[in-house]
Amino acid sequence: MKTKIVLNSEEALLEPSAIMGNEEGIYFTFMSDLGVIANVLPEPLEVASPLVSGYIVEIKNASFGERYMEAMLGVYVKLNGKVGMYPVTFLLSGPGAEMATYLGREKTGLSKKICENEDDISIKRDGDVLRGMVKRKGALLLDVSIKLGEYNNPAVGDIYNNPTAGKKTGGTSFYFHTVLEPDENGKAIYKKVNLISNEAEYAYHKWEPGKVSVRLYSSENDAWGEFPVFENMGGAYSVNDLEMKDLYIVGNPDPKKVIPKLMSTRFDKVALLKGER
Amino acid sequence: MKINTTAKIGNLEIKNRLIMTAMGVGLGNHEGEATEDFIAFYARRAKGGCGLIITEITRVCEGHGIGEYDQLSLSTDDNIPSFTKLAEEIHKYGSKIFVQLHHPGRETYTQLTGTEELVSASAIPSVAAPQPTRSLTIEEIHELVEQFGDAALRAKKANVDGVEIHGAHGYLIQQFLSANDNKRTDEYGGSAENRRRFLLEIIENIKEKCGEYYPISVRLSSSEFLDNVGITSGITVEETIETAKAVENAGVSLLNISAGTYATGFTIVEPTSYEQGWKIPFATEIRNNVNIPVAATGVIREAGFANKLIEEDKVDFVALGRPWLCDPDFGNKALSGNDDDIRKCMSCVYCFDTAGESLVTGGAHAKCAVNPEMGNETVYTKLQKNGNGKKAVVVGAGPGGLEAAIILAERNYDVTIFEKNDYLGGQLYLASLPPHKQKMRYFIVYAAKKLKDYGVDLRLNTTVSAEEIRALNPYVTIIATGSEPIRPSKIPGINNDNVYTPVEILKGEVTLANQRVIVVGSGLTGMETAIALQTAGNEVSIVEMQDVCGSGGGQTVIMDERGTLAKLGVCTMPGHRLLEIRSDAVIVADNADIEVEIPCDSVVISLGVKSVNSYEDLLNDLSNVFVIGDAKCAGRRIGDAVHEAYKIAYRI
Ligand SMILES: Cc1cc2nc3c(=O)[nH]c(=O)nc-3n(C[C@H](O)[C@H](O)[C@H](O)COP(=O)(O)O)c2cc1C
Repeated sequence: MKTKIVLNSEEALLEPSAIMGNEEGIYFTFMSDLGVIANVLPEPLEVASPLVSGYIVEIKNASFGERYMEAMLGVYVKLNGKVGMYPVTFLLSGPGAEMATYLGREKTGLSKKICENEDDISIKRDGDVLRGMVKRKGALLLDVSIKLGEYNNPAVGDIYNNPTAGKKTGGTSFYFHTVLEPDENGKAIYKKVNLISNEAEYAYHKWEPGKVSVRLYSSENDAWGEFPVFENMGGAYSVNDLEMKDLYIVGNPDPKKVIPKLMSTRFDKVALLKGER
Repeated sequence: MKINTTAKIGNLEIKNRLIMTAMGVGLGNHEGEATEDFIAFYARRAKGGCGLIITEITRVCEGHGIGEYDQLSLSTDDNIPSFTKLAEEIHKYGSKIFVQLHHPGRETYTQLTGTEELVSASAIPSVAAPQPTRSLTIEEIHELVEQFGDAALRAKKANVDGVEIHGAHGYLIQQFLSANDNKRTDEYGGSAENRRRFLLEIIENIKEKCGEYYPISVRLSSSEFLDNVGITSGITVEETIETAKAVENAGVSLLNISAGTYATGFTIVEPTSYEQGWKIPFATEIRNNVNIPVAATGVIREAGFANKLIEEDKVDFVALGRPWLCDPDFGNKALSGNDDDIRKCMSCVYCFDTAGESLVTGGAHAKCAVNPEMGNETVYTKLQKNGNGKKAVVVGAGPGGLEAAIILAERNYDVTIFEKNDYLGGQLYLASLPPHKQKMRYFIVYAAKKLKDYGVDLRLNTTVSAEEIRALNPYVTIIATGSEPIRPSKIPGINNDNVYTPVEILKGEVTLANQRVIVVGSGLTGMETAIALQTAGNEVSIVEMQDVCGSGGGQTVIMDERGTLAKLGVCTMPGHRLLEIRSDAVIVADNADIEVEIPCDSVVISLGVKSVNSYEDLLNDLSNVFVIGDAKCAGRRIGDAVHEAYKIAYRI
């Protein structure tokens, strides 16, 4: 089927729903360092916990594209007394990665980058053991295993709101939507940042707790090793549907202060200023 | 002007400048009465020369106001009689006593409060121990204000000399004061003035109920030091100056300046790495802005240092916590200039850790690593001086051996102590070697003086044989030979040239630089070795078999060490056990038995210690042979060895 360049105004609307249907993979949480976490937070977010949570999942039925693999590291923050999650960095691979990245960055304000090979993000299962790996540009960034059974530390159940098959849980997340525009000298600069608040709902089909072992590394372009792992708290193998609800602007922080905390998770070194200019 | 001069808090005269700060030691009962043990503990400090004693956190209401299982309570008139007895005992020594009134807010546990949720200024759970938390309603705030006032009135009725409002350390009042925790939009939140309202209303209520002249102290954190962990909205010294002025205006008669909040707990009860007096300049800055007396804590350990603070007009009162646990006679010794005789606190935080162990369950009390009598004032009532010159042999001069030698000598035994090294202190000495750990040597210096005072026969550099011990015909023999590093023999490559022990690194016998080093094991020694190696320019990874990186010390110490590891960028891998060492890598297996290769140049094995005890079997023909400390059961803390030593030396 051929398509045309010019769409009519109805066709030119973005798909309004954001449902990551049938997402399957490894979820993990570890204890890190409050100072390191606080340091990566753009204002006005404030650190709420020394924990870092992440996942490696395959998103099979996205409402906006083909299937893709996605890995994320996120931290717990507070904004005006409300506790939520701030996803610090995402990496994606597979056929749906491109659309999920464009939409994620442009519409929602997520710090997303793409890995060049589909199997740069992988999950392998062997009996009751799953191993997830994330590589980008040849460098290993995340290597996490999970042995199903019990959490490393039972306290982590509360962090996840104790999911079970059939249960729904919700939560708030915060993102930074950036507006890049040329200035009067014709140079593109970030003129505005929208701080976005978003409610999401997880509907669980499976949640099988397990003991995790988390290994994080940094490369030239992706500083995933920045978070020290002081305690493996636990995680799960899960199958769920994730629905992101509407987005609300809850602040306009100063781009000068916020942007330095976002650039390395959205662009590689080659795209950033090199030397004197 | 020195610490031995009198000074006033309101109209109340204090006989000297020494204050014992509030410390929850777990000697109360579940009802919150001042028990016999409790009274004996405080009275011992009064006898030891303390000018003003401030009790531990004392709750003003039940339910969400409970902060410890065995804490004191003034939420009911029923407890007035026991507090009256407490005050009476303290007054016998010319000392004064304040009760510290407290509400934990979100910094407690639902197991203790029996409520579904904890309360705070806002619905933000604790960073340190998150539990479901809700914000207080206006009606509840008003009720709490009354309850603080009622509790103060009960203290007054019990002849307690004054009260201290606990507005520090991240508890409820500070949760209101701090913009980081208080996100309310009503008259108790928002501006600094609004955030102070709760505290000021409490002061007003106490004054209404107890009268204009009943002394009130307010304990405040000069700074939350949250910027140390990257948070910018915490309380700063500038803000506390304004709070200090406001409480002065409200009629408070003493400011007791501390620091920190739960997320920066290491600035409240500092581990050994903090310098003596580090917090004092902040208190002095606050003092420069008010006209009421200011007391301050800040790792004050030496009498000379305390004297200088008064002489140089830095503070009005020297507030000390742990030094009073370590040596109840701190006051008398300090006042008479006997600095060398003071058993000084090493800030090893054993007291805080042991207090924490029974915080939720009760049934045990805080212990001081080097003062086994602390909290046991009704148990160890009189050291019998009946050794009559009988021979006592102690093998090993680690902390346990030293304590045994001191107590036996004090009991008039004729003591000989053998030590194979050329230094005293054993592992305690090694613990004092890393940067900023020199305070750990306080006990060694103290013990050396005591051994000299008592004329103990000290034989350094001596590996004594069983025959030599037998030849001395000892009445009592203490085997305190400690432990040695574990080197698991079954690990392939364990004897490679690139494998070292922490002792070799910490004592500087081996110097590594510009290398990739794997430290296997994340006990305190492992973490400190990693810190030393990374600081020396190596790229260090810690591999730890357990899921938690950091063990062998209390939470405060571990948090402190972890913070340093994070700042230095040391890689940490909990949940990985060592399988093999190669010349250029180690092989580890994770929790799922997945093997991972980590490239490296050198490996330091810090897998703890095993007992060394070659004497017990050889001396089984002798009576009164005791094995103590690590020689008995390896890998324990200084306090375990010292307490075991004391118990045996006290009872034999
Ligand atoms: C076991 C223990 C319990 C404590 N409990 C309290 C308390 O109930 N209220 C309080 O204000 N401070 C408490 N603190 C803090 C001390 O009062 C003091 O500020 C701190 O130990 C630092 O001073 P230092 O170095 O002189 O010990 C406690 C400290 C310890 C070690």
